[in-house]
Amino acid sequence: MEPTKLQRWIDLLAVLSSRRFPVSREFLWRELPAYSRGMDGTPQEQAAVSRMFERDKDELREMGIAIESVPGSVRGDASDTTGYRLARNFYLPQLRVSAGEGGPREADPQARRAPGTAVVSHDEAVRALGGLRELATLPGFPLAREAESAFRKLSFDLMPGGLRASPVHYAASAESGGASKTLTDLFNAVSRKKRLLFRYEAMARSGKTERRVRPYGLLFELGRWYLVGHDEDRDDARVFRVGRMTALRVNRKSPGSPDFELPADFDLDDYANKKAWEMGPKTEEEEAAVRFDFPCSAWAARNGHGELAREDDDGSQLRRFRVRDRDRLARWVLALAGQARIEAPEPMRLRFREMAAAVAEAHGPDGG
Amino acid sequence: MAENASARTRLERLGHVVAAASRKGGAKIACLARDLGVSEADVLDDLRELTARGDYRPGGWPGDILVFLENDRVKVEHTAFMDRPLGLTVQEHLCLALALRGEPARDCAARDVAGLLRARPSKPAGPGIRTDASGALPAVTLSDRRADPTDVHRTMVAAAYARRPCHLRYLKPAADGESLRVVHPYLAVFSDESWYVVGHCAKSESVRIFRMDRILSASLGEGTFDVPGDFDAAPYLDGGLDELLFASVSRKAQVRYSPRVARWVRERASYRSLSMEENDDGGVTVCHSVADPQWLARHVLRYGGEAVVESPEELRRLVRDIARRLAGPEAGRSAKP
Repeated sequence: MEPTKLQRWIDLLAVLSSRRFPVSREFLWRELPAYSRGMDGTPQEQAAVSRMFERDKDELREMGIAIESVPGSVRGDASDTTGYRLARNFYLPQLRVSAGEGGPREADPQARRAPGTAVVSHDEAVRALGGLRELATLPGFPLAREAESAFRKLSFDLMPGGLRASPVHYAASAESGGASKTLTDLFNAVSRKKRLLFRYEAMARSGKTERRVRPYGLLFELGRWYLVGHDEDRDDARVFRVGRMTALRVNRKSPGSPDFELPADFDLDDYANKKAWEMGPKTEEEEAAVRFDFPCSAWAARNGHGELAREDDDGSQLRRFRVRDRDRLARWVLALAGQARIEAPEPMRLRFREMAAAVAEAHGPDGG
Repeated sequence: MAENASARTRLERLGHVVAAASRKGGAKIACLARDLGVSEADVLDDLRELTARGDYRPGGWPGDILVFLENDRVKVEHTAFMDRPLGLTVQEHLCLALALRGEPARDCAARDVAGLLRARPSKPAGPGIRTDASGALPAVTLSDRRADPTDVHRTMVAAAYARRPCHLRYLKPAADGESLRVVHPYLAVFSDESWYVVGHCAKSESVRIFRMDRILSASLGEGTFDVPGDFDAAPYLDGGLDELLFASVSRKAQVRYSPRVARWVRERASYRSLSMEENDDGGVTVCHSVADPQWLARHVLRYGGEAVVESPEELRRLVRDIARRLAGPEAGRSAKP
């Protein structure tokens, strides 16, 4: 019976694991039934076995198992003096949890220097394992399987008894969950720097438009995924909600080489945690003052909404905002249901009141 | 291709099984299956790949792998075959970096841990996910956990993991000021654009939901707690926690949305399974379950006149009164948008 691919890999690893020194191809052809045609087959069969061996090496390397080629390491072999062995560092280093609260620097310097050993604090171990567990449950996260396997590997030493089930959950989100395939494609395009073509329904206009984009990064915010990239037709950076993309196509030409370079000044974090009223042309940026009644003022301060300009005896606060989209700030303040109002500048204050009046009129005795 | 994926998945599983079963005393098959998220039969199938080697090479192997199955345990003996977990792949490194990046204050430690665990070159060959020439990881940011400018999120999650009580200063919606609570946090749940804590509140002697952005400060208390065996997390994991926040009975409210905002309401309704009707003018009408009248007022006001409560009358009046108060005497004056 012909060994399966898994059995071939196991055989290769088992044979190499049992040898301290590099072994020749001929040795592997002799020892592994799957490679036996490399010794006694036709020239075509021998070439096929060589290609199979190269493929096996590549695929195992992708899994973190490197088979090193060591030129000149095998003696007494006329045809090929290159030897093969398992790289010494393909196993996870031995991980030890230090007793102290500090990071590795403070933790046991001797142990840290020991080859193949890494010392991490208990705090870091919990953070790493907890964070990986959370990633694995993140809606639509394209590397959930990898997060789970990294968790398993690290917990082998750090928490051999197993970590409790994660108490952190993302409630069901059909949008992010349904975007899983798109996200995997986007993740690969971001990683390989390949151009994208997709149809998109923007917030600002009705109807879908075709977009050609250089993908720079992926952002997970407020339970949704966003793509940050350079829109080639608008010649500007844009943020796209992944759930509003359809008909995504990744440039298939020259898959091995990138289509573009990431601008040196690009920082994905510049696009994170942006409020709706902060989006828009910088030229339209202006300052607004919003009055928060107590205790809404305590909530605004706790969540970093605006900067404190003045606090009054009754606990109310005047807070300053940088605004690029007046209407969005006005709607956000309206949604605080009477506990806050825009006080300045005058045009923004009037716009806010005008919107409130529109709501009142729509709900008047004759407004419905 | 399918054979590749299957072989890879199974070799990765075997990496865990062999390493665990190489430990003194071996490993329980049920525990291995739980760790891997597969059935016990799958674990046994994977082990058969090891024992089957004897079938196609009856003479035995140098440095053979011996597998012992005893009742519910498995033990593996060999010279040096996969007795440790494999090093992290590039994708797994990315996950670790992301897992630790969520805490900006710990960036140095994050780099240390990721660096210490880096057991292989940063630039892999093959068609998998590549790093760029500098070895940098692809740009992915999870900003949800960093959005909190305080330590509250971090403290609550740490408390939930360690099962430690927490002392909270909490700003209850529609209350005059903050109140002090001692809470046993069972879960941290992200739902409808906000983080919530679900836990036992000593003050109310029951399980309560707290909005994280309303917790003004949190500190760990002494001792530990156990999550009661009859606590059911399921109702909190389907979304709509804002509606569950108020234990009172909810009522129905009809809200009509203008054609201008209808497409976004349709999008949201499809995710939340809301009951929705199309109107002749291109707008939509949605029937909401409302536990908190203030929630509905906030929801409608944010549309700035593009949403109108049609019924019940008292909720319609509530929105109108708030809006009139905000509009003030200058409501009639116009301003350029």
